[in-house]
Amino acid sequence: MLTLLIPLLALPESFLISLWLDRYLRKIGMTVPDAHKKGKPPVARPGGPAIVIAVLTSIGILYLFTRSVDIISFGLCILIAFSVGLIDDLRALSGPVKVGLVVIAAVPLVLLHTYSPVMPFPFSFHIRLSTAYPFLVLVAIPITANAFNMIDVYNGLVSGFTAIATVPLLIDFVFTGQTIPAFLALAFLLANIGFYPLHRNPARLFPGDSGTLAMGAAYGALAIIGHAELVAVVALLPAVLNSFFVISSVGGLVEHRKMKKRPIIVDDDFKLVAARDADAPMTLTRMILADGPLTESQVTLRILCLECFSALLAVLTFALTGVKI
Amino acid sequence: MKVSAFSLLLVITTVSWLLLLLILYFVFVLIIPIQPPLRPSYVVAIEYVILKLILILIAVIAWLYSYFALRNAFASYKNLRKAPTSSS
Repeated sequence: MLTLLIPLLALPESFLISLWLDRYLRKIGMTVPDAHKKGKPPVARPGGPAIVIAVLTSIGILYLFTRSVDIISFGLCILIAFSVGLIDDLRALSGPVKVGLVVIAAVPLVLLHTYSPVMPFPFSFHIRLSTAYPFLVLVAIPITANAFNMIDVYNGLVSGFTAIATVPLLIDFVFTGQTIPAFLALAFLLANIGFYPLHRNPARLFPGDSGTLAMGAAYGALAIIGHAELVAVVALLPAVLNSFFVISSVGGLVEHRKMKKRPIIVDDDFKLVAARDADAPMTLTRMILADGPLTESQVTLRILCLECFSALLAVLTFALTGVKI
Repeated sequence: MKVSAFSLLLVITTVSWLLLLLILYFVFVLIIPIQPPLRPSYVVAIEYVILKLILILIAVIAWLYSYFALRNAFASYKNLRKAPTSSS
């Protein structure tokens, strides 16, 4: 019963560290302008340490009670992705280098063998990937990390998106009786909820690449450790589609700050407008703005609604695998 | 009646979900389990492997193409790839 309370620590911890980081980062001048606001107010960055410290401390305490190797593997994965992100926050890395370094975050999952090469599939089929699976793990973590990184474009989006996307995983772990993955998912979910008040519009703290890469790697690791790969992919459909559309439009991994043509224009009223340029990258936001200009909050709300819909599809996918809910 | 961009994105998400399940079913349930007859000759076994690889390649290309088609259909329906007009 006591162990059940440990993941709950992540919520107040994440919130309090976020509050402290907001003040501390402003004091030492680590801020970036919020490009979508009037006057471009400075916002503290990176806030990623708040989420990572909250998750790592709560799962660290959990490890003392359970001695589970899943926790070690999950913790190392987050820590490595976070470190790569922190380097990128302090000194910008190119897209391919960043992705290449995030591959290292997948290594603990492979070395500690915290995966099962058999994936449940709807209608009681099973996908067996015995020898290919470890290689897929090495590819999957950079993909999820990059997908979360690419969706971090508006206030409150990536933290809200991650929290919603984690719910189907938590449901999966609870109904399949996987206690440790359920605890890890709960700690991760609550750390994101604790971070959200400072990240939501108008944001006081941005997660930075240290936060988004850690979030993405953690999400991928949860799916792998808890054998919920398909549920995770379905829950991430808006982010996956966004990444696919961007990569296919610009022809590779390009940092959004280095894109030659902008997909979105900010008008004089600080509303977002879709670019009508044939060469501009096709992003999820650009598609949402196809009907006309919207405020940043309206765009964020629409993407989060789309994510809620994907989360429902993910729960449906899990239900179709034959587990009784 | 013009369908809103958000409604279209809900449709795209649902179609993407179905396509994902379909490609996984094709590759892992229908194609990969294909086995040659018992005790095949070396040449026949190789032919089966090549056949499976070709089928997987066709399925994956068709799957990726379907996403391009969805993206382009959305862009042309919503005039996202045309020069701005005075009304927009």
